[in-house]
Amino acid sequence: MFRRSLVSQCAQGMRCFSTSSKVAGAAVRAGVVLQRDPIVTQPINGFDAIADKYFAWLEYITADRFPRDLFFKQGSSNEKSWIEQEKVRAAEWYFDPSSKPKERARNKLQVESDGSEEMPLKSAREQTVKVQPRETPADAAGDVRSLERKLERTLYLVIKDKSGQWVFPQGEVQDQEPLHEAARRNLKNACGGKISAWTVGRGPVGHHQASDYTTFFIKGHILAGQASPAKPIASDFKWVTREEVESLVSADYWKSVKDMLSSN
Amino acid sequence: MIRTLARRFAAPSQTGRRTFACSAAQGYQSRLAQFYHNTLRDDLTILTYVPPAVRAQRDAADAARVQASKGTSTDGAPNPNRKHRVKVHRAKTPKSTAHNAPCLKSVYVHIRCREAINDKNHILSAMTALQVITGKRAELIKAKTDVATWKLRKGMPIAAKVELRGEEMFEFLDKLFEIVLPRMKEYGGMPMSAGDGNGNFTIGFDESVIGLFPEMEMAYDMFPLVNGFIVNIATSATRNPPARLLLSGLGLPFLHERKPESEAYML
Repeated sequence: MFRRSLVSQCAQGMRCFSTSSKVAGAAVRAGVVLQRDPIVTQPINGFDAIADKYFAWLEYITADRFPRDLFFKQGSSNEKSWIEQEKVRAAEWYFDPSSKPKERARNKLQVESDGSEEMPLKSAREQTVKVQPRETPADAAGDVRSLERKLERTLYLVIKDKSGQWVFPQGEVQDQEPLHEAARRNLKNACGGKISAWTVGRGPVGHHQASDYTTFFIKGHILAGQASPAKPIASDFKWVTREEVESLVSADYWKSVKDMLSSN
Repeated sequence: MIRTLARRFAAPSQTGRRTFACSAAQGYQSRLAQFYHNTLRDDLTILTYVPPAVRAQRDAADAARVQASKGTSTDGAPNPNRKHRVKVHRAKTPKSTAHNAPCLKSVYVHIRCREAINDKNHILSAMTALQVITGKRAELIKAKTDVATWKLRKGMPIAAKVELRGEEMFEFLDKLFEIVLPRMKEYGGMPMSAGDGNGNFTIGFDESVIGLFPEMEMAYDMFPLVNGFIVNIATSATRNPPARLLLSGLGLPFLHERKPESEAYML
């Protein structure tokens, strides 16, 4: 767990705590921008996908010949499945078709012992790995409280506070309380103690100036658990992407918090 | 077998090459690279940020110490700072901004093959092993000087190296941190004293580890000789702690005292 050593390191970065709870006469609040990191890699579409395929192919045709006899025993099923894959790859040609070399010259794919070739071979990967869809049941059901929605995006926890506004979990800073501890305590008060979270460093990553108070935000990652909103403070919660945060929160609030949120 | 590969090594290659078709690019960024760019980089920026006021204090203290070590004491007493004269060989740590979070620069993997002194064909095992684990063709390293005690003469092939950058670097480190290190039974982590002080780390592995790479499993029996290998990781950090943060974030464990997880993270 890298986070453990990050925690010990962050102690060296900051010399002093932020403790003063009065800023220009306004009350200070501390909040946590709690995020769930992307779980799967981002899909690529459109031009990127085409370009990527092309560059992968360029790399393939300029690569050294694969040392097949180093990896596969002659006539083994692994070798056969590799040959099947190789035939598909070798069939691609992005340049002028007349410039395509003879396949036999580029890659000698003939199996020496050609006995039962009729059976279509699945590649080893197809046999062993069943690729799961990127869309989860939570996506299909539109469950915005699930941590398993939008696996390729960063999700942020927002709660509905007493006044019915959607905000990041936040609350008052008590007298002489360090900011990062106040932020964790407020997260616990708003979302119950069933979350295991790592908060990044001790300094705030952003702030929001309201008419009668200022909220400083500490960044956090959820490691385990799930939010269970405590009724008087928070009535509801959602795990939402950056765009969804924009549609939920007030325009004023969005202006303050947008630079803290990841576009991925 | 090794001989046939040797003939292929004879032609110099300029292009970056993948040995494994299965590692052909599926996306323009590998899993670890995406994790770095989407998640880790922000955290590193936050953790390595030094507020301007704190930075000014530190700079002033450094300047005062340098000044004190240069000057002579006025009251005739020996200057306590003199013996701790500050050497200014190291690059100054740049101001931390949103654009210079520590990142990986390059990874060099090399294998020293002492057996090649007696029989230079042994170097082919090392070069093939490097090609198998990194997917790039290895470069031969020849001895620069004579070493009489090892019976080594100048120009004899003695080692092989591979330079990895970009996606290849991330893919290799991903394999190393996620598959190979967990498979090692006795590996606890990097000591906190590791690193050269300028943000570069070196990890050495003995010959039992190279067989733990998933690609080596298939080909392990074909190698007449197996050597240990050394991984040099160069980062953009100018000191050890930020580089340690980076590597720790990428999944390399470090040995240090740890709190019980329940204490550290439960709210």
